[in-house]
Amino acid sequence: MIELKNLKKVFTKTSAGLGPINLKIKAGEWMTILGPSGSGKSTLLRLISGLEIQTEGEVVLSSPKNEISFVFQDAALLPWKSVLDNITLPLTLRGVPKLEAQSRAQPWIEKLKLSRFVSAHPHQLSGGLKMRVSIARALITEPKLLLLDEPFSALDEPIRIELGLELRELWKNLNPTVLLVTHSITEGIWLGDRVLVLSGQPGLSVLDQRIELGKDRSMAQRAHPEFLGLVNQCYELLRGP
Amino acid sequence: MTKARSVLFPMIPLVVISVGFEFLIRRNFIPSFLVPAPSQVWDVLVTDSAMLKEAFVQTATAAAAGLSASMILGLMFALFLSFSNWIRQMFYPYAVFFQTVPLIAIAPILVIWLGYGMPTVIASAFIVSIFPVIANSVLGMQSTDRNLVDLFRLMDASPLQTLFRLRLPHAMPAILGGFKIAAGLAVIGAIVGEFISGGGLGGVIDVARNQQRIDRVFAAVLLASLLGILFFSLISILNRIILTSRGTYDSTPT
Repeated sequence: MIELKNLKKVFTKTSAGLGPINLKIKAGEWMTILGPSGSGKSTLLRLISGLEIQTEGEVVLSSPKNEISFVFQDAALLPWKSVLDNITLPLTLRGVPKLEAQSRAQPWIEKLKLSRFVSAHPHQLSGGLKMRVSIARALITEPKLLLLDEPFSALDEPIRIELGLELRELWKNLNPTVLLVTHSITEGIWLGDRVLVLSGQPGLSVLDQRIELGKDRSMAQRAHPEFLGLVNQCYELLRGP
Repeated sequence: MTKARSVLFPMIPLVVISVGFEFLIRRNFIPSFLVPAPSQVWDVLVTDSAMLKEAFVQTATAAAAGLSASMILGLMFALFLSFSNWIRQMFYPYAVFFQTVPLIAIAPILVIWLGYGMPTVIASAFIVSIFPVIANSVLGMQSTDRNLVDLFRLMDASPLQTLFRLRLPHAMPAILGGFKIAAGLAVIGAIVGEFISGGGLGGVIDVARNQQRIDRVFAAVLLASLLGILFFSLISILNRIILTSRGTYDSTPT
């Protein structure tokens, strides 16, 4: 479980960054965070992960810090390492022997359809493949909390949809708590179980809504009136007055 | 064909300029005591070949020793500086000292400390060539992608793991760039050291200058330039081997 108590981040004395935010996220929940640029969506993830220190308030995590995985917008792969070495990095840094790390990587390589690319280097991969490697690296430690900071923003729409669905399937089996920051209202609502909408400066919660689409997701759900209604509601909130 | 062109094309201006100078000097448009005819320089290279070869090897040895020391010690010092911000703030100004110190002014001090001969020349090559190694290495390690640094923090990497498994390999192209700059400077440093302490191509230039042997000065300068190009090429090959082995070599000319 994650609990944010009066969480606030101020970057400079002139412009407020985020909050105060009060929020409880249940273990295993997938929450999507929407908001205009500069509303502090990414800052919220960084505060939760401990990469940033809050100005005020508190982040209470039920899982230890080493059970958090982060997926960045640009995949953040080591260019001099092969796909396999990038995926096993979190394990080898923890002292897991190389062979054991490689065998533990195998199921993730298969699940993320990377078998043909294990010895390739990042510069030889497309944007979609790079993101698959990044996701495999994030999941290899079987984290309790998965933080996704606009992971699909640089990808084409069909690849976004495909990867999003695959990630949702992996989440169903592994069941970590997921926080997904995205600019795409449709994608965020389609993939999440709950949506948090932040206002502009300062980033405050203006909507915290459960998404009732069930565990499994399909393209057909994107045409449901309920889905479209929530998309419109979020759009109106993000568009502002 | 492209490869042959890349060798042949730079030769065209060389041949044209050489022929032009030969003509101008033989016709006394330029006095030969100021600039020797290319044929005179060639004669010196042939007749003094034994002496010039010995001087070339001496300078090459000293420059190689100075360059090796600056590559090894410069990189070690850069790693030390990159370990933490306060270490860098405390010691980096002293690294800048090596850049700003006028070598020609401290070369006599080196002679007092190390005597005439090879040790002074090596020290001179080392002092001149170490700063680009330090500066490029530190810059390369400090400019590591912020997301990657954050990733290592999230993965609970120790400071040493972050330094050796992230910052150092990330900085490799910048480090190798520093080695390339240092390669040329090491030859310059060795020649300057030899002006003061004697021996090598620097010694040949100094003696020939006193004897008004401008042809010999030019022959030695030509060899010194070739030595610089040789060092630069060797480091470029090293650069290519290392970056290719890690799959990050960019063959685009820079």
